[in-house]
Amino acid sequence: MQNEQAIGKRSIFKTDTKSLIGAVVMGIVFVIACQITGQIDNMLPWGKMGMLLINGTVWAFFTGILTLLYRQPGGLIAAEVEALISIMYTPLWPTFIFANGIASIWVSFVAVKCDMTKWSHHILAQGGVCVLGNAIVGVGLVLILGLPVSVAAVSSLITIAVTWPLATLAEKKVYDALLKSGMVK
Amino acid sequence: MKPIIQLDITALTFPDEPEPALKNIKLNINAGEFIAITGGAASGKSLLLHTITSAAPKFYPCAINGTVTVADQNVSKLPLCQMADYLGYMMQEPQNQMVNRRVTDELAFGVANLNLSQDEIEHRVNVVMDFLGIRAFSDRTTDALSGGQAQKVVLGSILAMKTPILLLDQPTAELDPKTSSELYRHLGRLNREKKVTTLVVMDKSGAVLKDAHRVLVMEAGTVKDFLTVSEYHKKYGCRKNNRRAKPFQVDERYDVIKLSGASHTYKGGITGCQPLDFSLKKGDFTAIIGQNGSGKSTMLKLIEGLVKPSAGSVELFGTPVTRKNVGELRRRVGFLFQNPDDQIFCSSVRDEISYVLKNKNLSAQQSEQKIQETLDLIGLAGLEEMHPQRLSRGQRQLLALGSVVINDPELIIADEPTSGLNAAQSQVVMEKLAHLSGQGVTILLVTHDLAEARDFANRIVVMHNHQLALEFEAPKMDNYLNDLVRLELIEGGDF
Amino acid sequence: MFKLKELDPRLKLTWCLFLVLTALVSRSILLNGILLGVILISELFSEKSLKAFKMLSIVLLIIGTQVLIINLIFGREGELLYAWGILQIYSGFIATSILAFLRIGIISFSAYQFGVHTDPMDMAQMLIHWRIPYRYAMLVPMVARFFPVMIGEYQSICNSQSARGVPNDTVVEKIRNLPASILPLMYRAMRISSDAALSVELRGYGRHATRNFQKKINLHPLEGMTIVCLMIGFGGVLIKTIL
Repeated sequence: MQNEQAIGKRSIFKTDTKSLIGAVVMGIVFVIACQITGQIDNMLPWGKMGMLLINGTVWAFFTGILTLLYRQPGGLIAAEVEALISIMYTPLWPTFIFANGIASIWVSFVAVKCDMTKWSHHILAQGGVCVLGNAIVGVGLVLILGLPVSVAAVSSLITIAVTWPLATLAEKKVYDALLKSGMVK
Repeated sequence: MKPIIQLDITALTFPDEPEPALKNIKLNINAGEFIAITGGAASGKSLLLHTITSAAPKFYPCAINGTVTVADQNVSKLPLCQMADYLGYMMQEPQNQMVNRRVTDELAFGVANLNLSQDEIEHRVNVVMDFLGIRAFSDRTTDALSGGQAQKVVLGSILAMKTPILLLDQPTAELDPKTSSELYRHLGRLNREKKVTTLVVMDKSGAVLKDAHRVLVMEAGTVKDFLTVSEYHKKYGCRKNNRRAKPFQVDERYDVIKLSGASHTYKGGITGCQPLDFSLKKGDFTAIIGQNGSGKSTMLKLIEGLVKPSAGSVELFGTPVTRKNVGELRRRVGFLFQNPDDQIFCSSVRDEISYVLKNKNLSAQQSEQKIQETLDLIGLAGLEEMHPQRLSRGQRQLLALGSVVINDPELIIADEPTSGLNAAQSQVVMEKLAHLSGQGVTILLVTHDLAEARDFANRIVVMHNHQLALEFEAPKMDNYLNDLVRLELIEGGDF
Repeated sequence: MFKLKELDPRLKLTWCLFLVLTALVSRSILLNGILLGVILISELFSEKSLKAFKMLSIVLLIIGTQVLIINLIFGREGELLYAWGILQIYSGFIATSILAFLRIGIISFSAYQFGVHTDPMDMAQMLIHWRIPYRYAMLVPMVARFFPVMIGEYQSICNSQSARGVPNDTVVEKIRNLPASILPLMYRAMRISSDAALSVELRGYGRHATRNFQKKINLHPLEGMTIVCLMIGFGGVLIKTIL
């Protein structure tokens, strides 16, 4: 069912069945990617201290790329699939529900204003994803895990500093590769 | 007789493509007919079905100059979901088409979308389960079904909707010959008893011709011939015998692969394979055949070192495979998988082919020479910069072969490399393997296609119930047909 | 006999939300301890074992240990117990860690219990009852369906890459190989979802504004009353915490 609603010049919504189911299946890929990178992080010294930098990078990358691919509500669906399946491996899942959702909406907001062809567009999109997402997860670290506020704040700031550039790089490269593959128009 | 499907297409063109993908098609299909569709690579067979369903242009955007009418309805004026009133469509990979976790939910999916009463849903699901004989696995989860079972469930879900037209795109491409025959028997019965108009894109076996009334031959996006089955047989004849003339140079003294009582049991006590004693000599070309789930894949995983033997031992090139040396041994082996998409990940054909050269100390000139030789061998020269996902399935399989061959493997293990390919594409892949075999490369092929095994291999090994059941010289296959029937690989008179 | 699977999904969801929100709001170790006990007992009554929680328990144990160590080193609540250079240990870390341990247990086990013991089709019907269009609600069973499919796809890709000799032993190699395993998975996901979408559309997905189900959910009056009691109970916890 093609039922696209245009807002302004660029369409923010894509409600056809292909996008909805695509978002669901990609949401599962998102979960698998987070699982793999979580395991890699846990093999590293900072991972053992609870700072998941590679996982954070992949999380930010997927939140961004899936919203660019499936727009809304696909981006939100994929993000929330990840958040809800994360029940199986982290008690921070309630914060992921908010972090993933807000980050996805931010990317949509950027994609409406920019055509995502330049580096600056991806830097802006990922900046919001990393800052908003990690800030919310930081709140979760305090409320759910009971960590001291200073520890949660430092952890979030380090994660933002590392994941922002890496996720931007990954998002731009993969977005361009997907356009080249012809699987994304 | 009144036509139920009418096509009058001058041109169907995809965006950014200069040439139309379909052109000058004028076709009338009568109600109750059973049509087999055939044709070479990129001839437009699947696209023709997509056009009848109206998935092209509604799902795959394109411009159509012409009209398509199904049951007196102009399909361009109907939303895609409304086409469910008129036709059911089954694609190649059944696992991709199931969207429910439980078999019964899947069977009821289409009927429930039609908003029928609970009693009617229940009744139709029961009728379909009995018709297809799938009650035995109705309470299973869909991911636990074998290829044949999954295909029947997808078909059942469509049949429950009682549509007057059924479209199927190579429905048996991944099934063993016996399961394929079973599926075609059901389709034949449906056509005869319920008068369901059936269009099937036939696979390379041509088994569907037993039940078909007419054969539509496609070429370069247009209808080349529309013949009765007997006319088709007369004009196109039987499948040609591709038996290679060059003798195999087998070195009986050297075992490239040796399994000594090797078995594997998966978690939960599920048998992968019973103790196997098997050896593959240097320069040999052996084909392994067997039903879906007979243990072929587990045997390959044992050889590849992807699973550990629960008992017995596995040797590659005279060396026992261990966790430590498996990486080193793999460098001498080329693995070609059933689905090329599992191994392709680079963003250009050149990058994909040259990936393994990164770890070799070759000069730029040597690398370039190897890349060009490989591209020539697999016939993808000129497409170096193309993204692999833009290639056809057959071309992607050739690319996967290229990425294997460039490493100069001493042994190639090919797991159903022609599954899902049409006859012409399969022929190309098999000829490349035969060419490599002629150069002395040892080849282990797993296939469902008995003719392929007979024509290209030197020796055939049959697996049944997780063990090796029979072994014979490939050219003598005709002497073993009764055994193949007994081992449930073919039905009497199939081959 | 008491079976969690047979309860209405709305009751199970309310119970799950009650537990999660109470755990987040309350700082009482006793209350949190009781709630965790109730989850474990209900699971034991329903399933006769706690096997479903085994893997999650291991994960929570690791996270709990990390929380304990971080609170031990950085916690500044309570009295100073020990000091050695910049390392200072305060007494508050014990209570904070126990509370965190109980919280993560409640939050994880309750949600996991809801997910494991609720049929995805029932979840879809629950969403439809809340006026969510069925084209969106039916995505829940699709998640349940495609999760094992995609795990299988990922394993095939890993096997394929591994057989191709892609090195994947050290951490650096694992990081370097991420695109080699994730990109093909993304391509496969796109193809699978495209096939699935076409297949469902041609089986009438979206043909009508509503759809029927083989087995319908039905909220028993007793379950309805339990939902109201849980809401009142949470209100009580909230008021007590604020006051």
